[in-house]
Amino acid sequence: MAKTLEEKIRITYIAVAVKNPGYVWGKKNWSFSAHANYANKFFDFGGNTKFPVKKKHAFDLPKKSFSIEIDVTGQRSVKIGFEATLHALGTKIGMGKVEHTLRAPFKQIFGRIDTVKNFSVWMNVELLVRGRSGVHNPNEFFASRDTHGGKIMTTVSGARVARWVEVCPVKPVPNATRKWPVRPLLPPGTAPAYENGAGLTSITPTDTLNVVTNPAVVPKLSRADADFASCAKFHVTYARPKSLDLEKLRWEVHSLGGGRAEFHGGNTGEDVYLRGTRNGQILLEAKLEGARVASIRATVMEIKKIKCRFTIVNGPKGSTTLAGPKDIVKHLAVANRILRQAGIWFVLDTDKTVSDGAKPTKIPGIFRVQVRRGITRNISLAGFPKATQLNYRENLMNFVYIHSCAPLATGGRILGAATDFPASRAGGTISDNGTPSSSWIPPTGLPPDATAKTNRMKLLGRRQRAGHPKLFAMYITNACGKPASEAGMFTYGNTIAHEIGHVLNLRHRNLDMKNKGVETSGHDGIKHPPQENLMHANNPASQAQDIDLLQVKAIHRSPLLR
Amino acid sequence: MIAARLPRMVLLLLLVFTVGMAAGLSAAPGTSVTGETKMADSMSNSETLFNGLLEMANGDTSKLEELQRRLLDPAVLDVLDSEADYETEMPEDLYVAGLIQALMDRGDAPAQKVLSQLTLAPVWADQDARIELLVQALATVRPATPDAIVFWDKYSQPEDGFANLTIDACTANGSAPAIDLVGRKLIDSKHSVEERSGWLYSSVVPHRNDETLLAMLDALMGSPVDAEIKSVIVDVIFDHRPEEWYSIHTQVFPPPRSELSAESAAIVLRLADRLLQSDTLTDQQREAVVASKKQIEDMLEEQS
Repeated sequence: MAKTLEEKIRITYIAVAVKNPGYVWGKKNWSFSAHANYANKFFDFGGNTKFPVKKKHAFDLPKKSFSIEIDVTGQRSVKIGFEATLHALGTKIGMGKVEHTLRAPFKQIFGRIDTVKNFSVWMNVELLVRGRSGVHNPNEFFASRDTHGGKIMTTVSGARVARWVEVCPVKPVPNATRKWPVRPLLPPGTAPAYENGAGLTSITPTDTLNVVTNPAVVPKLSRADADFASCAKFHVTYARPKSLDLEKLRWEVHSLGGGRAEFHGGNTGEDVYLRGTRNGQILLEAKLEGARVASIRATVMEIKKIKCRFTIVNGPKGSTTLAGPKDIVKHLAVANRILRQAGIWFVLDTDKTVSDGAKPTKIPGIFRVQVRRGITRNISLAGFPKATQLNYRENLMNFVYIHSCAPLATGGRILGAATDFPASRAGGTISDNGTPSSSWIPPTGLPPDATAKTNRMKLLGRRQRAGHPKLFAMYITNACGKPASEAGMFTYGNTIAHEIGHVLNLRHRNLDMKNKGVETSGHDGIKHPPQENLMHANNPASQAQDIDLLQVKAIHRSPLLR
Repeated sequence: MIAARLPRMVLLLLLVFTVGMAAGLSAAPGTSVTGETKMADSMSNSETLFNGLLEMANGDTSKLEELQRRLLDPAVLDVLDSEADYETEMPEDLYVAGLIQALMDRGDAPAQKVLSQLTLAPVWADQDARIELLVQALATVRPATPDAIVFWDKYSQPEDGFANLTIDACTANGSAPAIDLVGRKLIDSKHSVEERSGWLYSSVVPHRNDETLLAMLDALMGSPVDAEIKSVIVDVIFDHRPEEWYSIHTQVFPPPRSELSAESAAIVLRLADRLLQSDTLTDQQREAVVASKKQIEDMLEEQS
C-alpha cells in the first residue's frame, strides 16, 4: 500500500448559457478564459476565441481549448476559475467570473455554476487514473496519499460504509449548498457520489414526450398507450458512494389520497417508467435491500389537452416575424414537451373562423394578419397590445407572433409576454403540505431534514382588457432568435411555456427578485429552486425547465383548463 | 451566379480596403472571393469595415467628418450590415448600432453633429432599424436641436412603429424642446387614447421627478386634453400599480421620491392641492394623491 501514484485531474468547461449578453449596441462577442492554480503554479487555458452571443442562448465550448489536465500529486487544494469578457465597440467589458476551490481528496464533478446576472457555465472535473479518464472501476486506486502525511488509501469509490440516494424532483438539480439538500454525514473516506442531475441542453420537436424526467405529473395512460416514450420517467439523481449497485434498487408506488400508477418495463434499476391508472397523488419509493433509500412525490392525472390558435402579425417589409407556420408547429412541439410535466398539452384548434382580416395558412390553427407597423414593431411596454386581440377566439389559448416589443429601460428586449388572462379559480394563493415538499423546498421532510411545512405560493391576479373577459393571450417576438435553428427552437418553445405559465397565473420563481433593492411584485414568494424553475424571470431554456407540484396545482385551477 | 456577384464583391473589397486604410488599418489578409468562402469573407469584411469606422468615430474632427461621409454612402451601409442582417437581427445588434453607440458615448459637439446630419439623410430612412437607432441616439443630444425635433416629430405618427421609441427618447432627453414635443403628442387626438396612455405609463413614469416634464404635465391638466389622459397623468405622477399597468416582464419603475428636487416637489404639491379640491379623482386616485402629498411634505420637513 506504500506505492505512490501520480495524481491527475482534468478540468473541462463544457458549455455556456447567456442570460444577459451585455446591453451595449452593436455586435456582441464574448471570449472566455479559464485558470487553475496551486502552489504558485498558474495555468491559463481557453484561448482567445470570440463567440457571438444572444440572450438566453446556450452553446458548447470547444473541448480542445477549454480542457486542461493538471498534476495534483500531493496538493491539498486547487483553485479554478472561469471568466467571461464582452468584446464590443473595440473595448472589453468583464461579464463576471466564477471561482472555486477543489479540495483533496479530489472528486469527479459535473455541475453548473451560475453568475448572478450574466451567464452559467457547465463544468466537469474528471479523475485521471494512470492516464485514463472517465468512469472508473470503483475499486481502482485513484491516488495514494502515503507520501504526503497520511496512511489513507483512497479509491475511486471508497469502502461501502454508508449510502445515500436521491431522486430529486427538480431538473436540472440545483447545485448543492451547505443548507440544501440536507444529507447525512457519511463516514470520512466515503467515496464520491454518482450524480445524474443535469438538465436538458436542448429539446427538439422529435424528442420523446417524456424527455423531461422526474416530472410532477405522471400521465394517466391506458396499457395500450403506455411505452417508454410516453410513461413518466424517474431516475436516481445522486447516489453516494458511487459504487452502490443501483441495478439492485427496487421501486414501489404508494397511493397518497387515491392516486395509482403502475410500472412499465419493470420496477428495478436506476430508472423506472410509470403510467398513471387513477387520479391523485402517489409516492414513488426506491428501496435497497429492503430499506427505503429515496422517494419522490407526483400527481397522477390525464394530460389535459388545451385548444390554441396562432396568429402571425406582420407589418410592412422589415417589420415581419422571423417565424413562419412550419416553425410555429415545431415551437409548439418543444413547448408541449416542457409543459407535459404539468399535465397539459396544447393542440391546434381547427376552427376556421377568422377576424380582423386574418387569413388561414396551410396549417389549420395558424393564421396571418397584415397590420400597420406599430401594431407589431416596438409595441408598448404598458397596457394591452392590439396584436394579441387580433383574430382571437374566446376560451382557448391565443398565441401571437410579433416583430418586437419596445426596448426595456434597462436595455435589451423581452422575448415574449402574457397579456390577457383571468384570475385563478384558486384565488390569490395556493398551498401544499405534502412530503417530500414540492421542489424539495426546505425543509424537505426527507430525514435527516426536518418535517416539511406548508408552502404557500402567490398567484398572479387577473390581467384583462375591458370588454374581452374570455381572452387568453400572449405574444412572442423575434428577440427569441432564429426560429429554425435548434437553439432558436428551444428558446421559442421555452418562452412559450414560460409565458403560458403566467397565463395560468404563475408568478416568477427566483432566489432573488429585486429592483433597486425592492422586491418586485412578480415573485411567487418561494425562493426555491433558485435558478431551475421554468418560471425563473431571466434564465435561459437550458437552465429554467422545471415545474413543481405547487405549480401543477395552480395551473389546473386556471379558467383556461375548465 | 458567381459572375453576377463579382462587381459587388469587388466594390465590397475596395470599400473595406479604403476604409481600413483611412483608419490606419490594413485590409483583412487572405480575403477570398470564391463561392465557398463568401459568407465567411462577407462577415469578416463587415467586421474589418466596422473596426475602421469605429476608429474614425473615436478620432479627431477630421476623422469624424470622414465617418459622416462614409455613413451617408449606401454602399458602405450595405457592407456593414446586409439586407439579411436587417431582417434577422434586432436593430441594436447590428454593426451600425455599434457606431451610433460610439457617437453617443463620445457625446461631444462634433459627434452630435454627425448624429444630426444622419437624420437628414434619405439613405438612413431606407431601413426601419436605422431610424430606430437614430431616434434613440438623439436622446443624448441636449438640448434637443431643431433638426432632432423635426426628426422625432416625423417618427411619432399614429401606429408608425417608432412613436413609442420617440416619446421614450424625448422624455429621456428631458430638454424643453423635447418635452414640448411630448406635450404636443399627448394632446394630439390622431393618436389613440391607448397609445398616448402607453407613453405615460412606460416613458413618463421613469422620469416623473423631472421638473420640465412635471411642468408640462401640470399644464396639460389645465388643458382641454381628454379626461382619460388626465386620469392617467394623475396615476403616473402620484401612484404606481405595476401589475395593473404592465405585463410581468415589462414593469417600469419610478425614481425614488427622495430624489425629487424642491422645484419638482413644489409642482407636485401644487397639483395635488388642485386635484384634492376637484371632484375628478376616483377613490383610489384620491388615496394615492393624499399619500404622495404626505410623503413629499414629510420629506421636505425632514430636509428643512
